[in-house]
Amino acid sequence: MISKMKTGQVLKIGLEIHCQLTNLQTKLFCDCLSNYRNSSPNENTCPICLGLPGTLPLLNKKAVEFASMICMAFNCNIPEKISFYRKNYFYPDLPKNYQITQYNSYELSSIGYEGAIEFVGESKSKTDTSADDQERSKVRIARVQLEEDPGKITYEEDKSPVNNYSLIDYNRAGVSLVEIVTEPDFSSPLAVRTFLKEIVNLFEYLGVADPSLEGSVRCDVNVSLGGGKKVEIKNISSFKEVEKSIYYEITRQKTLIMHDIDVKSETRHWDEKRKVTVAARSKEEEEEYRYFPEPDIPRIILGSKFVSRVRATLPELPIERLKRYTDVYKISDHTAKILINDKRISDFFEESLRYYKSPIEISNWIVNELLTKINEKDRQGISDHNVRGLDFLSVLPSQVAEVAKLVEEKSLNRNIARDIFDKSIESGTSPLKIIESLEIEKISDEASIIKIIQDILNSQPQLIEQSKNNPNVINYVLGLIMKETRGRVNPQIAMKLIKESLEAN
Amino acid sequence: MRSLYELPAFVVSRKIQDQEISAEEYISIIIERIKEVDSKVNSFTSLNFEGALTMSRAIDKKIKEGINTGLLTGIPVGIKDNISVQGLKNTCASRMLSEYVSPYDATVVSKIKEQGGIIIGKLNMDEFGMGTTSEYSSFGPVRNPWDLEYVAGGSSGGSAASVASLQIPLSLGSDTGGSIRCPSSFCSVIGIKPTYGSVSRSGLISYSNSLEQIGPIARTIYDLVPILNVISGEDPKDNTTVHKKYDYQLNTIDNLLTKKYKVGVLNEFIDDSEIEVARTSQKKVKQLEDYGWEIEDTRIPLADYALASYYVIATAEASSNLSRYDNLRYGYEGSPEGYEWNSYFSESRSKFGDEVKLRILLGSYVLSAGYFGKYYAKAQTIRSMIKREFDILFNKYDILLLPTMPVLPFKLGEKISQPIEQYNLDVYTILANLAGLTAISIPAGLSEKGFPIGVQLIANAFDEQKLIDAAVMLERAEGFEKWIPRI
Amino acid sequence: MAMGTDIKKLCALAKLEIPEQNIAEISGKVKEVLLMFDKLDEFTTEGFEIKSTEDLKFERAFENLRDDRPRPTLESSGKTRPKLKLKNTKDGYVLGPRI
Repeated sequence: MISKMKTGQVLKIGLEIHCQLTNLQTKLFCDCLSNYRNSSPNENTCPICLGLPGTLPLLNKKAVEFASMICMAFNCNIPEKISFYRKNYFYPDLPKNYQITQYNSYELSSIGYEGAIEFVGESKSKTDTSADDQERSKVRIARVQLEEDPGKITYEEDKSPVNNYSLIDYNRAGVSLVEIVTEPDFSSPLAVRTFLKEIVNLFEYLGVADPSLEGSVRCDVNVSLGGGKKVEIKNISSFKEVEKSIYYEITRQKTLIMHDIDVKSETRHWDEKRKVTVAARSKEEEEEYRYFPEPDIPRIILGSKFVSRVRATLPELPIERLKRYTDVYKISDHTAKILINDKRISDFFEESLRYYKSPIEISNWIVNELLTKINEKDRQGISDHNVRGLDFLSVLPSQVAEVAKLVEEKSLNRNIARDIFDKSIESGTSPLKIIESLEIEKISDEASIIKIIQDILNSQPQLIEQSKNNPNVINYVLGLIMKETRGRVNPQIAMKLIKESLEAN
Repeated sequence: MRSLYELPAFVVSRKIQDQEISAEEYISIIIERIKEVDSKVNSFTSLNFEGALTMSRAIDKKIKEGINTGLLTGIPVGIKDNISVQGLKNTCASRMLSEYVSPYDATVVSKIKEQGGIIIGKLNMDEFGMGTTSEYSSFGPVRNPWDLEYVAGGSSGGSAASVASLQIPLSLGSDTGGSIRCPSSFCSVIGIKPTYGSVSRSGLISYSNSLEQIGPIARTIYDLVPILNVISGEDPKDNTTVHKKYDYQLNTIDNLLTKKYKVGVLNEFIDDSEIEVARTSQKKVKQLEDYGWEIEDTRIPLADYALASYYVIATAEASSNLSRYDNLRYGYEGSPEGYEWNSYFSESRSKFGDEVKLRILLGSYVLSAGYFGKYYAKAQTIRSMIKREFDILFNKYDILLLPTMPVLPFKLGEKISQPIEQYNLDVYTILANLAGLTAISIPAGLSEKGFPIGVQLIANAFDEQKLIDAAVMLERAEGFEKWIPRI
Repeated sequence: MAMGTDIKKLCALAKLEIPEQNIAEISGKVKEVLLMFDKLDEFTTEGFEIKSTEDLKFERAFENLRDDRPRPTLESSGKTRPKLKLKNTKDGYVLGPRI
């Protein structure tokens, strides 16, 4: 943790997170599709989102609902009335050359304000006794606002240095964005990384966005050192880069401070190739946005019952699910956190429970057996949300349930079950098929076991005599049985029967 | 025997529906009339003769088949060139949009078409609606049919002049600070600014969205009311429209003679006007008095601050509304290839006229950091208070009366160089826009030299019926047929 | 407001190119109109309670907002939507200036 620098300076980091409401059907102000990724350039547009003369914005009701769900998850206050403002600036990707957004400097207009959210936190390893308080901290939310996304500017790849034009695609223009602005409550890049992972997960739980879609969640950062001026970093393409950019910026500011140079309050861009922040170009230099209330959108009356109505339809939040797992299912905190920190894993778990209701056993299988088998690369794939679900695993929730059931009801030896799981992941065959092919159904019925014992005693009659004085004979016989049946016998039952057989003889 | 173009629209429409004449015949006569006259008046920016003839034939066919063709059957309507008509150019009389063809119809245009109205062309105006004379046009100024050396008023000059010169019986204009009423007064036609929120702005190219409304212009109140009914109504495409029943009636004289409205005369405005304007306004007051209506002098406080309040708000909103004109997606010829984006934007936007540029700069200034409270917020506060004052007045009075313009029409070029001098002409009309009320300009008479004077009536929001009733009575006292320009 | 340079800043803000020879004239006009705007300074809102746009800002109930429904596709509605013709396109993209 770098909360206090060697020079004793306090590091403050704040975030501006933009979440596209990809689970909406239409854009924020028109009925074009909200998922533009499958459309050819400028196909997903209409007079409104192209900013054609005479068009008027038509606010999407569900966008307001989704935005307020996000506010509730962040424990923000939601006002009874909301309104919209124009942020005026020129840029080729902005069809109207103003963005319709929300702004709180002249009146409270945004969908959410003054909230706070606790980190669920990474699970600590069982042996880690150093309570890492940073990760359990609370982050204050300054505001949550609803606004529209601009279009996209691209260049033709083959000619980039010689390009004297750009190519503009307005398919994304007008898509709904929820912007979440935090106070500068983060004191380390690691905390930021943890937080981002958690809120991306939160968006999935809420059902407002699909974080695996490219560009659906973006983040700007602001960094200040030792109570100095705040530097904003924009143009960060992924969460990995967020962390890198913060580290770089800390170093840059420290260097300036050491040389007695004042850190300027400015906006910088993250250059991913060179891994540095650079002073921003003229687009951000002009901060003269000339905000004023959007005349084409009336003030929206949410009403006093709005909040309770939306809250009633709110899906289970990660922190609520965590509580349910630890309180009701009695799963350990460590295990529960691993499960809920990725909705797809936790959904997998819930699905398995439908087939066999043994939360502790199944959770152990998933966390200790299944997930540990996934190599680091795939793990990263999950956390980058590049992998859709756990499909790369050939294991189904029902199969995990089945194996857990077999183990618990003692038909299947735990070690063997582990092997089966390994084979299943490698070969892509389902565990049950493997079980079948190895004929390793546990032999539990006493008659068959007694027969095997009898066969052994018949072939080695001296064992009966030896067993009277040597307790190890029982283990020896058990070993023979295991060898004979390739481990398919239930050891406890076998032991009991061996004793009985020996005595009988 | 009068020509068809001299008759009120409702009369001709009746003849068409009764199959006394065909819609095609009527449109052909209108086309001839426009060809004859408009080179002098310059009220049209683009014409849709082929389309209009096609529409008229379709209507004739429907009538023969017994299909109901609507309230505006066969009537040619001119549309101000800032209101979208699919397939026609929508230039706002600006070089910035000289090649822009609208891909969709404004809601009001769809409604007119649904009711059998025929869109015959787009009408000349002050660029982007910014002006009081229709001299700020890339198509050249609109000339007053009463004297071609004089201004027609603005910004809907083409809408008023085309109707006044008997080219078309009906037109649509837009009114942000008097842009329907002013030219109606200068050209001696009747024009109404409906209550804010009663007519959809979807398809109207925005100048100042919290102030403006689309409204009709006609020669007689009997033509004005049907089209007002057609265009009024809540529109899902415009969230600032209000859900209400809009069903204005042309009450009979007998009926109206029993109604006794109370009229508040804003005599301070009358006193401040040119003498002939004052005299003519007083004449109209007397006519209402003769009908038994109660007349009382009154005043509207805070009127001194109205002009500043109006122009702060209008320029602020305009500066933002006009930002989208960057000649990238639509506009005029030219390509951005080779240009750096900052200089491309600045250069392509240099095609705005000087008055538009002035207002954009003013608007950008009043909205900039640190000035919002001093200008925009203050202007909106005063606006609320003016509305409050009107509420108090309308508790007492049904209608308020004042002149439409403080002056008689003046010569082209006379007031074009001094912005403040032009802005001051709007003082009587901006009040209704600021407070979101409805107001109408009714021909009141001619000056000694033969220049039109209009009287303005203001009613409370959604009280258009009272204005219509008054217009019926005033038209009865002195009909439009009394004043027709020789052209 | 000072002349010349401030107008130039405003022109840059509003992305309006005004030729050098016209700067003085438009500067003068801006000044003149701002003087008229200063009339607002004479007005004090003391004693009045209303907030700036309280009375006039339209309000709309949440229930009356647009539903999140995509527009009917061409196949289902049977209507052809007029293809929007944008100027200067290349492979569907709109041609823009270089950034």
